[in-house]
Amino acid sequence: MPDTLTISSQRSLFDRVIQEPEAVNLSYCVTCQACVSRCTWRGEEGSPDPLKMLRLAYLGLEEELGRASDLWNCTMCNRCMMDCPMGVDMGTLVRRARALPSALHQIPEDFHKGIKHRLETGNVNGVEKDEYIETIEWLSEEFGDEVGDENAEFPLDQKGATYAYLPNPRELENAVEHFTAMGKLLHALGEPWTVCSKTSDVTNWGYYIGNDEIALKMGLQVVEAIEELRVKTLVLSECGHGFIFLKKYAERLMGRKPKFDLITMSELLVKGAKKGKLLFDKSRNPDRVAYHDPCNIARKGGVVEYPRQLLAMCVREVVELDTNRKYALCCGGGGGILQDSTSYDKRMKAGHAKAMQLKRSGCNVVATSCLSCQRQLTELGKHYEYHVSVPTVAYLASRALIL
Amino acid sequence: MTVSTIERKRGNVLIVGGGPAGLSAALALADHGFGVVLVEWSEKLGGHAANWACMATDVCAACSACLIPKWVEQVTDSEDIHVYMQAQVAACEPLGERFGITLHTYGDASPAAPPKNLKVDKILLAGGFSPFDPSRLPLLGYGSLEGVVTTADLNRILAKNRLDNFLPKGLERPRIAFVQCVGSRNREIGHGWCSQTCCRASTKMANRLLHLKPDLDITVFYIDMQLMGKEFRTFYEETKQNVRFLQGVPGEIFPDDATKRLTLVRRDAENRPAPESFDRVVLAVGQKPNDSVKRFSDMFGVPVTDDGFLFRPADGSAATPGVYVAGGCTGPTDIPTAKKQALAAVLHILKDSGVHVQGRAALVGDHPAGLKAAETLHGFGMDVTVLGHPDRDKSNKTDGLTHIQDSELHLLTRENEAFRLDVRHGTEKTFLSADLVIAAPNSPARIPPEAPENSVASAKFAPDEVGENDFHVAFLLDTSGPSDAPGVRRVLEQAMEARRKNFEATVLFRHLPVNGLDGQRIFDDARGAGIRFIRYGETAPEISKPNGRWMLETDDQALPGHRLSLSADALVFAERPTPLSTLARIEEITRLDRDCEGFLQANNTRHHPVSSFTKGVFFAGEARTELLPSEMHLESDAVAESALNWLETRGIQENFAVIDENRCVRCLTCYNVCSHRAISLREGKVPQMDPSLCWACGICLSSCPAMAISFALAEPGQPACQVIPPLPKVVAFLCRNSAALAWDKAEKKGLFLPKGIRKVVVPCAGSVCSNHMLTALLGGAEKVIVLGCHIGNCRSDRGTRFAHSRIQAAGDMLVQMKLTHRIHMEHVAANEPNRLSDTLQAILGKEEKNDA
Repeated sequence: MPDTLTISSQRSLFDRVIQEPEAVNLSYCVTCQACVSRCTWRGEEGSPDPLKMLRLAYLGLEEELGRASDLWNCTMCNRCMMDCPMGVDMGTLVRRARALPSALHQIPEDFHKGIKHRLETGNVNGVEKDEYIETIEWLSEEFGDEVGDENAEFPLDQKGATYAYLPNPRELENAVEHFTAMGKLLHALGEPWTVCSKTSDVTNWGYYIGNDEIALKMGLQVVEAIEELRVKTLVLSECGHGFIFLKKYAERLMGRKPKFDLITMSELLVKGAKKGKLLFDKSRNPDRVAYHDPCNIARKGGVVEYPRQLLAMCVREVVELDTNRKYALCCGGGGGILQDSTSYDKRMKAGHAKAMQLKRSGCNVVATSCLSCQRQLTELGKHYEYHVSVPTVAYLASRALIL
Repeated sequence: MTVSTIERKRGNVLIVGGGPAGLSAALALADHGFGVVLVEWSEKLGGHAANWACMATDVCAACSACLIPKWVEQVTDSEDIHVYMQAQVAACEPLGERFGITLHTYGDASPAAPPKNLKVDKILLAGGFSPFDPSRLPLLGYGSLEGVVTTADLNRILAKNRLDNFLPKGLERPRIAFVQCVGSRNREIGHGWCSQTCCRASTKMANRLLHLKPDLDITVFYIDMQLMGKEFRTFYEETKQNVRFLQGVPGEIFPDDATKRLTLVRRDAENRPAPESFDRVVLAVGQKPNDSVKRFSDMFGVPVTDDGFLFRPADGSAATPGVYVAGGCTGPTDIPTAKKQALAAVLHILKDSGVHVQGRAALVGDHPAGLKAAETLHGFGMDVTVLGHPDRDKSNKTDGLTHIQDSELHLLTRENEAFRLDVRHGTEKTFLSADLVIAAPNSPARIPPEAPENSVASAKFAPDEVGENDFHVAFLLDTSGPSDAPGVRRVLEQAMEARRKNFEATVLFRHLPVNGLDGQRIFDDARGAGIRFIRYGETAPEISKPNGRWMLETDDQALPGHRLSLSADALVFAERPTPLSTLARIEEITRLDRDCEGFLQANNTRHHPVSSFTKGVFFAGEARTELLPSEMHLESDAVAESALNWLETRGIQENFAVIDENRCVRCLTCYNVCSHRAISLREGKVPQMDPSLCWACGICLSSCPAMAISFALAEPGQPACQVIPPLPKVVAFLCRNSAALAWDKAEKKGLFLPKGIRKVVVPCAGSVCSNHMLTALLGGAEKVIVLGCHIGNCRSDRGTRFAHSRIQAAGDMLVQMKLTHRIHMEHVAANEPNRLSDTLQAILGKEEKNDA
């Protein structure tokens, strides 16, 4: 006999969420269940049930919702709401529900650690400012050789530069070559550019746990540091949620616009190439390359064509996956799942459909523009025994760059 | 044809669009003495409905698509209707109160035909709808995945009467999924409305598929099964025995990597999302406004609604002076509704043309739709008498109508070619004479018997009187069968009222029929207003009242695996449709059968939406079926038009039966078999034919043991005349309303039709008697086939049943000779040339095909 839950008219979560511009339509849900069928998990064991989460919120069953494992199985990819007849936004609901008192125990241990680091040092891995400066100086030493110009360096804290580049923490850890590659591209554009010693991390885990206070603090760490440099444009490392946070939520939380423009690597490079500032040699990327749309970049952020245009400039052949653009399957690592080191089994199930899709494409190179997607896709390949390498789009551009 | 030849005494009407609405308006206008110019842009008449397959098994499923061929034939044959095919109105210019029209024809035959100029008095726009293009929702795989089709595609497949090209080969039990609401109820793509017809269409298609291949495993995925339309509630309950109906529609179809079957994810038995595979997926595509809307709006100045359809005034009047609209271009409609709208437009054209009609009408009962129709008829110059209900407020009288309050009809007979109504009026008895009778009893709202003490009927619930803020009202629907449309509408309106008072409102339901664009809007507003909707499953909520408050324990289909409880201060029940006791009286008096839900008017009269089998007897309102307040105008207009049509055409009788009193043995068989009440009894014993009521179906001819009845015109008609030797191997009797039309279509399409058949077209399958069959066999025929309408689709009600019993009788005589295999009875609808061809082939075998 199932337990009986008492419907409550006190539904603070639901009533708050429908105030948000993305989520005003939640109350119009006609329970058509199409969302259940569009989940990127495709019915693997552990599939989150979007409608169940919505109904629990709708009926004021918030304690039950907070306890639901669906909250942290959901990758917040929002594929479920594509073509939703009522335009319901699920990601916002899930993000907010993760902050329910009854949901706090579900926040993965790694998040507590990462958030602490990020708030104290500005970097989720606890990379101190001095360490960051050392890394930049070390990169700078090699940089002249990389670009074939002995005067070239990795500029630090150059006030008034045109571009500031904000890396992903993984670029300081196990993907340093990616950092250098980005530097090469920025260098080739020929405009003054810089990195900022005060901020070394594009991510924002406060967003994942639905905690506005933390998200705002993390946002300000980035925004204020970049503003101090008085650069024109902030160029973001390829990071999905970091992009969507700064593009959409930072302004809402701060109550003002940041005093700089925001651009993704792919858009910056396409525009640079079109102006003739960048030249690419496609033969350096001879493989057939499929493109994986990161949910935050494509579905939520609307950046769909720049990465494709860039790929078309710098690889021999680009292939489309069978559902793509705003309908793309999530890699299975979104919504903070990837950042939880205990999530491997879960991620592999969530990404099963993606892995099968990669196999169907027959491509052994899949490019993307999010470093989280990159790691997840790489692991999916190993797990499902499909040989695939996963460069970022900008990395392929850097490889094809003619200096 | 020049313009002058179609000038008529009452004027000319331009009809744009040759679908169900345009065709039925053209026929009605011709009946009323108008000249009609019908302009159709495509190369065929009938609109989308012309492609729709018959949904009958052997039993008619009341889909109405078979009406189209007959209408097309009648329009094509009419001298008063001029049809321009592959033509468009290029310009319209007002000429005083008339219109100057420029037509462009662009058919292959005359690519450079010069534009035609016409002058017309009125214009009816019936531009139809477009089916939704599902490739706009790419995750459903239409156009990219093999095996994903639309209901429109399936119509074409079913019309072929076989599934070989549809189903994959060699499967044990193929699985088919129907996905409802594709392009309907979707605000994100600007199609917020319910398309009204798809739930019925898919249910009927599922039923038909099972008839063609009984081992199919069929699931219908729906958002909210719209149980509306006459008899559909019953049809749905029956179909549920063989088809799985599941709440919740999939939003993505993808091929399973291993099996390549079409896969979708839905909640499984444990309520967890899980994949499930099918072999074919049918997308139930909705109706949307087509391109004609904008052109019409620009050219004729008719406003467009928020939803993008042409604006049709609620009272059915002209949308702009002289211009009327009807059918699918005004919003999602089914065939009967399109026809009703067409009749309403015709009524207003008559009204606005200053037409006067003399006659006497009697209204039995005072349902608002009936009263409205009576007032309209009075406005045309008719004398109308209203036989009011005893409980009715006596002050509610309409000027100009004669009211006999507190009266009860106790006998309806024919006298001097008019209806005689014997009426009890208090203790007095009186009678009146009328040319037509409208049965329109009023129905009181009734709370269902399972409603507990102290709960309230929704009609009686008054939010003003019950409480303060935080007062919680629970509305309960469908507890003992699906609620009717007016009941649902009343609940939604009451719940909205409760919300306006800042009450909490919860609606617990199983099905929520929205009924029309306005209904959808109310439902949308209700969700936006914060009314809580809970769809419970198979079992109704448990109700208790432990501490002075109502406690409801319920399931929520959207949240399975939990029991939910909620408490409420007031508990409101929707009234249930309860066919009236007064209907029983009318049923008895008029000798009409009730339908499967207890209403009057059998389904087989739906080609005349408010008519009965008896000419001159009409139904209005709940005598027929449930009606929303917003549908009253349409109903009363259709009644008034049908009544006027009868008055104006009753003298024009092509053929009728004649009784030879010298041969008549007064056995009264004819009196009993006539479904049309065309035969009355003189002096209580002598059968007498009333030609104006006769349908010339021939059932009485074939039933008369004394052979005392014949047709006034022998042709077309008596089967006996046509079974005279020498006869070929096969004699086939074809009903003129179904099989004969199907035969013509089959010939046109070049389908296989066996040679060596004597084709005998009969007015009704019921006009063929056992004697005709035996005569044919004696005359040398090896086989006799009677091809009639599907059961429940006979225009003379019982013709198909009579045909069956006569086959049986003839068979009994042949049993001794072991010749029963020589006679056959088969059912074919007018739109089933393929089924006709297949049926003949099945009976006559392949050998015949080689001959052909």
